Amino acid sequence: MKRRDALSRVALLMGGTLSAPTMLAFLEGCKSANETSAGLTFPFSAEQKNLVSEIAEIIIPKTDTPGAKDAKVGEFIEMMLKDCYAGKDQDSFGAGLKELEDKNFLKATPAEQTTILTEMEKTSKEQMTKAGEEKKKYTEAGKEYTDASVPFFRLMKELTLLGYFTSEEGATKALEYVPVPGRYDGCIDLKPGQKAWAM
Amino acid sequence: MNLNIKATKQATFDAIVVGSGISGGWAAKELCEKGLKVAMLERGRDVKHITDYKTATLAPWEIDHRGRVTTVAKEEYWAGVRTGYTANGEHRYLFENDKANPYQETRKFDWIRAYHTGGRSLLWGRQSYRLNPKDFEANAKEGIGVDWPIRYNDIAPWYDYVEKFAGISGAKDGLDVLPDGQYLPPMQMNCVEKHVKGEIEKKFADRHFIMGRCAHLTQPQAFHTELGRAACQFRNMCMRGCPYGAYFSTQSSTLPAAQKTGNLTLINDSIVSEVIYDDKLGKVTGVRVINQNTLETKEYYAKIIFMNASAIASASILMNSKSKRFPNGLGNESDQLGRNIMDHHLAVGARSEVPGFEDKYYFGRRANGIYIPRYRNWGTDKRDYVRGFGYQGGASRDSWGRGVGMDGFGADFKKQLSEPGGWNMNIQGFGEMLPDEKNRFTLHATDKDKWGLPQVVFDAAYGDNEKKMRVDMMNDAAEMLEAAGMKNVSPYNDESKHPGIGIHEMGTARMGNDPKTSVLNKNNQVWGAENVYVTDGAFMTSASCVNPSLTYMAMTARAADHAVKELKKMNM
Repeated sequence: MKRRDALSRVALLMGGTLSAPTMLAFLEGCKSANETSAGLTFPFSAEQKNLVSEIAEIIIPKTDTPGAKDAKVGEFIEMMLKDCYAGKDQDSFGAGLKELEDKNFLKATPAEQTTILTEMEKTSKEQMTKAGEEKKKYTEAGKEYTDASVPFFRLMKELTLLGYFTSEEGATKALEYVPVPGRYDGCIDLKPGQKAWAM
Repeated sequence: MNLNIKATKQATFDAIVVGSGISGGWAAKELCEKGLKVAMLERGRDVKHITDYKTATLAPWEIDHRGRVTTVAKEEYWAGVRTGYTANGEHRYLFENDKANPYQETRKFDWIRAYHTGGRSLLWGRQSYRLNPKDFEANAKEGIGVDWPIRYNDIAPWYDYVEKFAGISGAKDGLDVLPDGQYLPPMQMNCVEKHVKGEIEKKFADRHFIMGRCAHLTQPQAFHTELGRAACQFRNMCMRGCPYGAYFSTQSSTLPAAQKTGNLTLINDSIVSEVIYDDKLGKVTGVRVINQNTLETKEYYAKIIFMNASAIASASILMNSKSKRFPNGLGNESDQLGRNIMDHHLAVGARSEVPGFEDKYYFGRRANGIYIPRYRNWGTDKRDYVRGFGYQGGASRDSWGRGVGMDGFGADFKKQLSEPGGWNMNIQGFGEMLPDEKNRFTLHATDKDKWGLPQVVFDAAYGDNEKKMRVDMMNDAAEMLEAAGMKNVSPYNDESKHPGIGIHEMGTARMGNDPKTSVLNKNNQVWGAENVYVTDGAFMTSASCVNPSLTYMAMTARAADHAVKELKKMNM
């Protein structure tokens, strides 16, 4: 059911108005598989899937090693957002996607896309710094702090890197994957251009 | 023979071991090897060595959600998530679902449980250090808690004994604060750790930086190989269960040794609800068990009972074992059962970045780190708190994860992340927690778990001594890393953590010299019920600052030796 309807029904049951914090708590708590507030529902629409894959590919493109699309990072991101992230972060992601859709991101030139994403990265960094300072103020004063939602680009980047570098394509081609090392050599030379261990 | 007598005979053993974890496996092995018929009762399901390690050889892309915790799991493992790693996808199935099997907290306690064959011996950190002679004297000297009824010399030969069998990798460092033991070759330090060791030991004469001592086979001996164990392959996937049997666990070591004797009966799904004290005979005759699946109850009988269900569980069972003689729980005249909960406090230390070493790397994944043994309140050092702490840590090169905080994206960004990043060097303190009888758990008067047993209610918190100690733990770490030339040194002291997070909970049925103030005597026997031994973490009279499992192993072997000698003398 839509949150607004649910809220009004609870208000009736409780015989009157709900306080702002309670309403907030109720909003936070009411989450079903397809619940929406900023437009992020699962499964993603075809347009959303495409957009997410494209952004991931811009972050980790195919070079002489596979890219994000080869590693099916788009699908991975959708699954992780659905299963591992709180509603507020899902909504933040949804808002970011919408912003890019409104800018007609997929029709822009590669140079324009780079500019847009660079700007988004800058904004997300500023948001996180601000949230960090706010959290510090609260916790140093001994007060409880509910973490702010994670900005879109931070979510996008974090999940792209996780999805890519732990995928078979990423781990075995862009990194050096050695499932059973058999020994530990503590101090060896790193050869120029040598890839990092996958794990 | 009528059915009743036959049934009783089938349920009768020479000894019962409650729990198959890191100490229970030892009790079973020792008692079996000394010729006793032993029933090891495990409340959880069986997890067979190698074949039941579901995730042991899975690649990162095959792991549930690449190891990340799902929102559903966060809710189910509400205590587990507090550790930051036990609820991860690659091994979460080996930990207890806190929602399905809840406990209560008056003051918060992180109770991290694993109920299956082997218990947390499949999941432990494998760091293996001895207590030192002063650890055993500290309570008496400082007027804290009660005196240990034993001294280091009582346990020293047993440390030798268990270290050899378990296979402990380490070096004889010649430090009185961290007594040397019986070791297999130590693992290597990497380039940065060697450098930092040199710098710290140069600048701080009383501090030492050594390789961690861990229960991994770096050089299997014949008797290890005979049990089917092989050398550590440096995969660092230990908590999934080791297909090589390379680290010490019930499955890799004590269980096969016990099974070889033909004297062991492992019975799974058997939750011991109480120990049966026969008021007429004036002794314990056995245990009562509830099947975890069918809720059927059953009784098992034995001359000797070893309680190895883990500190909280063993004390709970004893608290639940009421009789005319022991109206307050078996051996609880002292009212110390469930009290004096200790753990090691951590989440305090410093991180840093390492200048240089760009052309150095390592091969293999070492499931062990460096160790800085206690130096505070040692020798002539005196602080505004008592006892001390050690540090565990190490150096490594940043991996692709650093990209999350880096600006940029695209081909160059990807290439950078395909190569190792800069080095970082981190050390985290493990501090001793003092015994305080106000730190305790009780059994809820009315709330039951799904087997009809009372829910555990915790009420514990760190005290002033711990808080004062943490100031040094943080500042000293930063000071040492700065002195070693590290940059961007970030000290931390997370005071939001709770007791239990060390997953070293202990002290709930402490040893002592006086039945009025302790639950166990100097042989780990329950006062007044001397055929019951408690040799899991419950017995600890003080916590020291070192990882405790090696001490549980040694005391178990010592107690088993005592129990069989007593049996032979017909004292039982």
